[in-house]
Amino acid sequence: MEEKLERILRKVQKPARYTGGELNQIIKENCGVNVAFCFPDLYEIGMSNLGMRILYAVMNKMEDVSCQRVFAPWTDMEKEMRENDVPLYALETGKPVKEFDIIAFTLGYEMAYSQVLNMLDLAGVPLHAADRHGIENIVIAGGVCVYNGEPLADFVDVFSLGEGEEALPEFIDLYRKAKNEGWSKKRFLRAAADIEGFYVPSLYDISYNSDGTVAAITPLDGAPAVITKRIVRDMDKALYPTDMIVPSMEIVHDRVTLELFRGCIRGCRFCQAGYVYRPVRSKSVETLLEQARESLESSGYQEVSLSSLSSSDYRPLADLCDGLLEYCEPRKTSLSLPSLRADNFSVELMEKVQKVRKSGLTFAPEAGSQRLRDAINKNVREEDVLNACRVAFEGGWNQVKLYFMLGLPTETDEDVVAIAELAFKVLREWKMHASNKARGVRITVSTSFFVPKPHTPYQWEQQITMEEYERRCTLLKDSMRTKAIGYNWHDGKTSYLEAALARGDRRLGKVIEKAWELGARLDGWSETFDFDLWMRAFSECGVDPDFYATRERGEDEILPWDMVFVGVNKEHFKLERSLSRKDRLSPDCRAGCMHCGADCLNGGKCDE
Amino acid sequence: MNRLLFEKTGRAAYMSHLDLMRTVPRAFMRAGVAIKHTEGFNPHAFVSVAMPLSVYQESICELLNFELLPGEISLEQLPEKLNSCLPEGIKVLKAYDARRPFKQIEALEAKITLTYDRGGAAEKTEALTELFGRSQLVINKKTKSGYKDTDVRPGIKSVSFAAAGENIVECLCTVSAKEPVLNPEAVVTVINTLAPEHAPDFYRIMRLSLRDAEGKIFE
Ligand code: SF4
Ligand code: SF4
Repeated sequence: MEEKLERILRKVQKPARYTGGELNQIIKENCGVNVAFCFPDLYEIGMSNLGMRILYAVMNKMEDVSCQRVFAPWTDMEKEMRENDVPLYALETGKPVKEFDIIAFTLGYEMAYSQVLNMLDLAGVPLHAADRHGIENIVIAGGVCVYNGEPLADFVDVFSLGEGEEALPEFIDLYRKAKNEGWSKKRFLRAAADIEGFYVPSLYDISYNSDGTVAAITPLDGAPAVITKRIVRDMDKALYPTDMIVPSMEIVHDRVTLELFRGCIRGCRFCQAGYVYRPVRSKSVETLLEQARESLESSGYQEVSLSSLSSSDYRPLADLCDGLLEYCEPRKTSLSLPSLRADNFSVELMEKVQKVRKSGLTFAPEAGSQRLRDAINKNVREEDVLNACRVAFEGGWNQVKLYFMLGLPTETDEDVVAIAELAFKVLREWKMHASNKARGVRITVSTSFFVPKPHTPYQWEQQITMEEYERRCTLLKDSMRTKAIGYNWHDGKTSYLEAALARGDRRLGKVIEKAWELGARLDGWSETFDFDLWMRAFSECGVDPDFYATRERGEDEILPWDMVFVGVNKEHFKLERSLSRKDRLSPDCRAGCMHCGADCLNGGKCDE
Repeated sequence: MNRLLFEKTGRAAYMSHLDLMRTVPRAFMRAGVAIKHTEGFNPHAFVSVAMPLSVYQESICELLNFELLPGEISLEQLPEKLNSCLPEGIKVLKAYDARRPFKQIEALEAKITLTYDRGGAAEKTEALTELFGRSQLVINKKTKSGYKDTDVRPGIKSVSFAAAGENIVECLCTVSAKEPVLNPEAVVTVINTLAPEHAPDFYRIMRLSLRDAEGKIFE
């Protein structure tokens, strides 16, 4: 390590974030293509991201390709870096990001946008795609946010839509060819647009109506009118890195994470993940057991967690858990199931997991009343939640967390109050069934502020105003009749900004840039988030955030992300929206296919 | 009881003591070597180190106790096995049966490398030698009952300075490892408080050896 860097590491908190050198990091010297893989948040968050770990392995597995990790510095480190002229560098070798061929970002959260700009700037790379003339420092971005990457269109050269395992190697191979043959950037980008799943924003002209809505999206130079996301068809063959990097410092998910399947059969109407990851593709029990064993052995972790959108929908879940427990118990390794659903909650499963460790339970009914749960297609009945809680209390659990959203379309005050009523019923279950009352009970209700997202049936809906959200929070708080139930709610400001950015268009680029200039950093952190600064950026740029956040769109309006196809047809979203307005449920993919269109990505197959 | 002698250098110096206490048990797990665990609801591998090392300090003489379970591989094979399971900078040099308890450790020998960006190492060496020749060196030091003005001179068993080039002064010191324990860092604090004009622009601390009451190397 250079002494210059060492000197500044003495002055910052948690210096291990910035050193690299962990077990299983991959260092490949003298490769033809070098990728700086940037995560626009702290080390401990980024290293907990399974997608990043997978793609790190995928790229490093390619011959003649080296991929190194880069994370966002915390404010103390950024200050030292700027004062001491230390440019952003990759952890593995300390090589400056500016010297990499490809600078890749993974974007999972809109609140990271300002950090993308900040990292480019710390690297000494021009922010605007148009100011980077050569083929070096190609900036590519993937992750769930890029299904509408328009707000970042000024800064990013290429968006990678969907799963990168197969797509990224194709992109890198093209890059290698372009680099070897000395192509211009223009030629390279045009060729990249021909690879399925790659969206090159500079090849699209966007025009606007006088009311501010999009008038037309015009592909230039023969670029495809619609870009379809990529998926991995056979999850058993998809690379899963079992020799994963083991961070030396504590990270958020300090354990082995098993991905049972991608996609979700449920189709909750507010849920972007539920739509954009369609269709469901599962791994087999054999694959998962092998991956679990190998990763536990190579990492030395003593905890494994099952992570999928709705893990209890994994068909052979009982078999998997049996197999895992058989391996884990003698090794004193614990198994955690983060996302269980209340409806098919299995007593047996809970008891099995309990043998190894007992942690708190979480349920996400999302809405308090049955009417609203039907409207959002959250197929959970009150009896299910109460049953699950009863079983848990009988089994000795005494902590339950319940998650809800406020501001869902069609929500009334009655629906809000129903949240308190449901929590109260849970408390009653505890009073009636707890096996051990002496330990007391902790029931926590958390509410978040609904953010309408692209590629969902609610993509046209308005977000309620912050004032209205706060009124509903207060209403709920006042409806809680007992101190035994704790209530906490998310800050409305973050969700309002998230709503503006999530459904934004290219005109937000200058707002993000202005906010960054004014000092916006790591906006997902309450310590650094400054809402007023963002509002100043909007007003200085003459852009109204309400136009994006609280405005209902017409169904015939051209949406800024209409060039992106996630596999689900717009007609399906419209249908689901109309069913929502009638409080009508749709069956899940297993109970009955609604022909959303996503099977076309997988040769007509879903969830087999 | 078994013991490891290991180094913690380079990038690993930035790992905290707590990080180390997570990393070493994991290395045993990875190596597939079973060691004694604590009892209880959340059992974890039982390991203990002689003297926790501060972040930023390096060492070539760290000691860690553990207990191999019967039927495991021999101690001779252990270093190689563990080293492939440890992060960069942590290297096991030896694994052996612990014959002497940690409480026989009396002193710690360390090297402190002081860097002066504007040069003058020879003059600094002279000034520092004189400074440490004083009979009392009082600094504000963290003790069990908060920060206190403390004379650290008795804790410094020996100290010497030598210029190594224009910008570097090397300090070799032996400090007490018995209550009241003195962190070698105190040498730098003494310079910074009592002779701020000689405060280094940068410094590194490397633990060299642990010593027993007779001044012999403790392992
Ligand atoms: S169950 Fe509903 S909320 Fe959960 S991932 Fe699936 S669609 Fe989304
Ligand atoms: S095509 Fe049918 S089964 Fe497949 S994801 Fe769409 S609704 Fe579900």
